[in-house]
Amino acid sequence: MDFRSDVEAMVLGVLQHEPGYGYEIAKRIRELSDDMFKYGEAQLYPALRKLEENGFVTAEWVVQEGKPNRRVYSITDEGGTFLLERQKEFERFVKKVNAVMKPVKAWSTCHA
Amino acid sequence: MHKFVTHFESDLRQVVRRGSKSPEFENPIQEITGHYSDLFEESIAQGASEQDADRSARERIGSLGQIALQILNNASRQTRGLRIQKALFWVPMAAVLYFIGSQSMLAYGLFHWTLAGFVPLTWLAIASGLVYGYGIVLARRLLWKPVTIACLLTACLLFPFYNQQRLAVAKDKAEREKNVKLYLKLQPALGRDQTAVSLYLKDQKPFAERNAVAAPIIEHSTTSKFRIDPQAQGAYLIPTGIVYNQAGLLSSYMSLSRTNDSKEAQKAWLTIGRSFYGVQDHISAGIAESQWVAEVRPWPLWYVIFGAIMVPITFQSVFFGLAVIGGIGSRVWILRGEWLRYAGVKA
Repeated sequence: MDFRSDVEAMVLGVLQHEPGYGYEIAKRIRELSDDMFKYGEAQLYPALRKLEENGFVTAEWVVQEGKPNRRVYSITDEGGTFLLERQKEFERFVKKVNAVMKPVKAWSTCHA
Repeated sequence: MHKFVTHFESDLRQVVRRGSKSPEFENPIQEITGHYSDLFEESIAQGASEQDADRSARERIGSLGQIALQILNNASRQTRGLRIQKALFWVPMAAVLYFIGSQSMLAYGLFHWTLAGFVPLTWLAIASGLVYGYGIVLARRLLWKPVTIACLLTACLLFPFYNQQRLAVAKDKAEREKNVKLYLKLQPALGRDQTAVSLYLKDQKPFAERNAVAAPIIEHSTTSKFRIDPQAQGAYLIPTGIVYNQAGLLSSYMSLSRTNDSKEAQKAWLTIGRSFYGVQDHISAGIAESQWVAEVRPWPLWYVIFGAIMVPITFQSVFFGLAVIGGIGSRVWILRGEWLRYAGVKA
């Protein structure tokens, strides 16, 4: 399972702290992951749309003066439950990966 | 709003509208524009010029075409379904045009070409029917406007064939009874007055009575086209062009002409009888004391009108029947995909 592509869980992870709009969500993911996860608009907005369809987030328009209006997303209880499930699943995944990949002796980190 | 933001919004709107003009896309356009605006301001705050900020924001946003595609693909099921139906509207039209074209080809005796050409069309119609069906299922509604236009246009395009008196298409059927009677029934594909042309040997049927009301009545206009003149009486229908198929049998096409000379008519038909039926003796015997004539029974007007309505409807019914089958099939396929995802087989 590729968690890197699990944009929906990432978005929910950010929104559990506070509501946010598209640009803000993408920025927070990038910052929190030290630039490891950089989601473009092509990935972010379909994910938000799907989360909204599934009832995991709600959205409302915030009118701005002289600027385009913003659509601010908030996580719902269902979204929180879904996030928890994803986190547990990810922990199981990491555990299994570790069980397989954990080094059994001290390998040298550089090659001659 | 900043002019660059306005410009971006206008660009995005233009690209999205190429795909659809649905008002449903207003929100995503606004949202993406907002995103661009934030990226633009971020660059400005970092000291970039407006041009650089615009370039940077557009780069980070990505290709407008792709964004538009995303917006269109993320449209509601109904909008997507309706888009599919609108997009495929031309397919039944193409099929109808081809159908008419094939009728013209029939008239010129290019039967093999017609058959050969019809196969890809059939597949195209089936394929588009499946996709159309998918559109209906997605939208959960049938777009009546294209269907109505399609049916009407089909009717209009086909209707001339009911009035256009093309040459009679002969049915590959000849019945011989006893030893002097020969029926050759000519059946045109479509045509109001040219249908059900039957040829009789006069002496074997009470044809004298018939002859009084329904004499052969064909007025020759071109070598391959005839116009029936209901007022004409007493002429003889004669073959002018016979097409044989690969098996050496009489094909479905026969060019006909008209003559007032009974001997000429006899001679023409006798030639056919000899070459095709191989019953020269019997025909000769028949002809010696008979007169070849033709009876033309025009289709009644109500039949023409009924046909003009029913043929396209039937045609469309087949098309939409396929669409419904396709719709159900595609729905099953979607459910299968969802199930596989649920079962964890597919990511």
